Amino acid sequence: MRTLIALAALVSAPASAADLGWQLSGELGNLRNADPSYDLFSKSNVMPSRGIRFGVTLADTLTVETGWHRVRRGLYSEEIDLQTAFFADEFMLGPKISHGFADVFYPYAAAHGVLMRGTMKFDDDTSTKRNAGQVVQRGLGLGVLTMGGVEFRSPTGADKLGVSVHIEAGYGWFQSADFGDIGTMKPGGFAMKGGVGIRL
Amino acid sequence: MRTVLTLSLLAGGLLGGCAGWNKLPNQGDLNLDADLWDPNRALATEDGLYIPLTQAGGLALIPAGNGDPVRIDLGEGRLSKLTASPDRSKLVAFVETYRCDEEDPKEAKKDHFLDDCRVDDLEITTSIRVIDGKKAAAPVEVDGSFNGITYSHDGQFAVAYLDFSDPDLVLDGVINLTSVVVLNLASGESKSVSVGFAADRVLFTQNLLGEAEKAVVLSQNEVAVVDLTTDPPTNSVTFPLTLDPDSVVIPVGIELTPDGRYALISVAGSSDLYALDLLTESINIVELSHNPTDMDVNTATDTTVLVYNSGSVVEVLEHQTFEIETTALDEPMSRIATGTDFALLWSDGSEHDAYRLDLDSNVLVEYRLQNPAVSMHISPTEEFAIALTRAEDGFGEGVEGLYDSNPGMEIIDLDDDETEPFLLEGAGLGVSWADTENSLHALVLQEAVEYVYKLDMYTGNAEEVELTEPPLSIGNMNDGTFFITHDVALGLVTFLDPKTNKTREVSGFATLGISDATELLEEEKKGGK
Repeated sequence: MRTLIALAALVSAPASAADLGWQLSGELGNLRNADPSYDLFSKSNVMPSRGIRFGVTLADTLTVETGWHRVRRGLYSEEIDLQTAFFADEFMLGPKISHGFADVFYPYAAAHGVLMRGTMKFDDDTSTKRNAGQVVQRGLGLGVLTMGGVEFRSPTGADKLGVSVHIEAGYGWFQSADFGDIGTMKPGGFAMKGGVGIRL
Repeated sequence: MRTVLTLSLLAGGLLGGCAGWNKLPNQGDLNLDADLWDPNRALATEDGLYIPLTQAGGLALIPAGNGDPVRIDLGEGRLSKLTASPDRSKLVAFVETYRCDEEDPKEAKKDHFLDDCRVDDLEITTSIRVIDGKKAAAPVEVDGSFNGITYSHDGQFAVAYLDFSDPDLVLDGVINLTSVVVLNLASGESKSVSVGFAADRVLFTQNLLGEAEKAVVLSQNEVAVVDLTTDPPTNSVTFPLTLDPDSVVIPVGIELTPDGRYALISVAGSSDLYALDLLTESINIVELSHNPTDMDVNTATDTTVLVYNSGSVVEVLEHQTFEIETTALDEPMSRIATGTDFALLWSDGSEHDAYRLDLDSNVLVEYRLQNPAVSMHISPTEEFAIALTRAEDGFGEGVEGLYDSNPGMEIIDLDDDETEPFLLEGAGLGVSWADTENSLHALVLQEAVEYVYKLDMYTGNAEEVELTEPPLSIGNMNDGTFFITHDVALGLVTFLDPKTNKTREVSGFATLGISDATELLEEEKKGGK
């Protein structure tokens, strides 16, 4: 990540105070999770997520981004009345380097450090809101997402709100998240995100 | 910037959604290979209650006292069976480890977990681990396949064998059907001993100090005696049950006489009882009236009681002279429950009779049950017995019809020779006894009924101890309390103190290890992680 920031500093001219801008996007995402333990919560090996991303432009080509995505997956067994659920909050922070063409088309590369806070829930009596058969366990895991993508910006004048659309794909590496006595889970692999946002 | 913050918070609320218990996400059906735990195979020791976790392939311990459930580390592999020695001092876990014999190196690299491997490529190795408290001892290396185990009385030895009556038996690879594995549980050593074809029943003799001396192993057509005092244990003598290689003699039952000298063996389809003299290494054949369905050795009177499905008689074999005393019954009996100096005969068929046979005087007392029995439970004081009975197909009228159409229990007063029938709300699942110096209570579990029926056997006063879920089984803890298991997916055990009727529930333990997939052993690891 340090390398990416250094590279960005080299290739970009520093932004003046007037150049500082921000962007806020709503996103949908997908991260592969082939860990067998994830089968308890999902019929597929992907973790779909929804989230937001906020970025501050520090230079012409450098943006620092932060974001949060939420995963909500769950399955139910009617046979034994067992509901499982997996929630993950992914908090991201990292740089994005982009280069614009005609002020509309902006290819970019980004590297985000990710803190994933996962929650496993099991409930063996779904007819009641509170019962003894409710188990919840939380775990933390760190990871990195390296993404490449493209952003389309609506051409606007200075100091005006614009609209942007982006789509990106890449790869995620995650350490195994420890869920105590319940076990572990290690997501990772192909990742994809896309979203719509506003920018100034 | 304020706009940004407001938008962020708004979006967060919308995107996150509520994660309350009543709004958990559900995107499809959860299909599990097995139930998460096995409520019928919980084992109590002085350390607490051990529970097999079938889905995770692990083992949970609910510690004695008020401790929280913990997961026992069994190392590599999955728990396939949990057994305990008769005195419950030794707990032994059968652990299966897996290796994938994938020839394609590219595919082999992708195989990390059990589910990744094709069934045809899977190689299963079973090892055993002695459980001591919260720890599992190092695996005992065992040469051979097995799924059954019998322990010596002192818990020092065990003989592992292939139990072909096990419906879950899966055979894999080359299997030697003529050997058993003798395990020294104290030293952790094991030895494969050749005993005969399809060995499936084992008894142990002991010396005056109660130490195991010999293992008597039944197999088709022969009986082997394994000397446990030699190192390693060896097959000291083999008794052939037939000299004709074309005929097949299948032993059905085996009992040892109290002095350990004779092994009494009944065989399928024959009225012959083989009495093997383990001292002189000779065989006596005793002619019985029929093919026995159950036999039981009574230590106090040094006799063996035999009953027959095919004949309305009970026979008592005297061990010194091998003389038989035959007593006629009104109905054939198939099961024997043993008291100190009496035998309680009952039938798990359609018969309504039960009998108490006094083995000192040979006096027979007949009891008439309202419905056929499914199980018989003698109280620790031997003053009472409880027969759990089942509903019958043919319904009569009036009171008879009421009894016929409902499961029940019958209290047999063994001192006054009276019976007292009760109707049950649900089919009887089990009976446990709680006795003190001046009280005796029976705890009766019923199917789909959310209470324990607690009956004071001396006063006849009954109480209902409420449960939150219908029970499945009941058992004793070492501290005098009882454990009751329930059919609840994530696990539920109720501990009941019979003195105060106070209950404590422990739940959710079936999730322990559920998220740890079973890893395949790698080629070069050969048993290590």
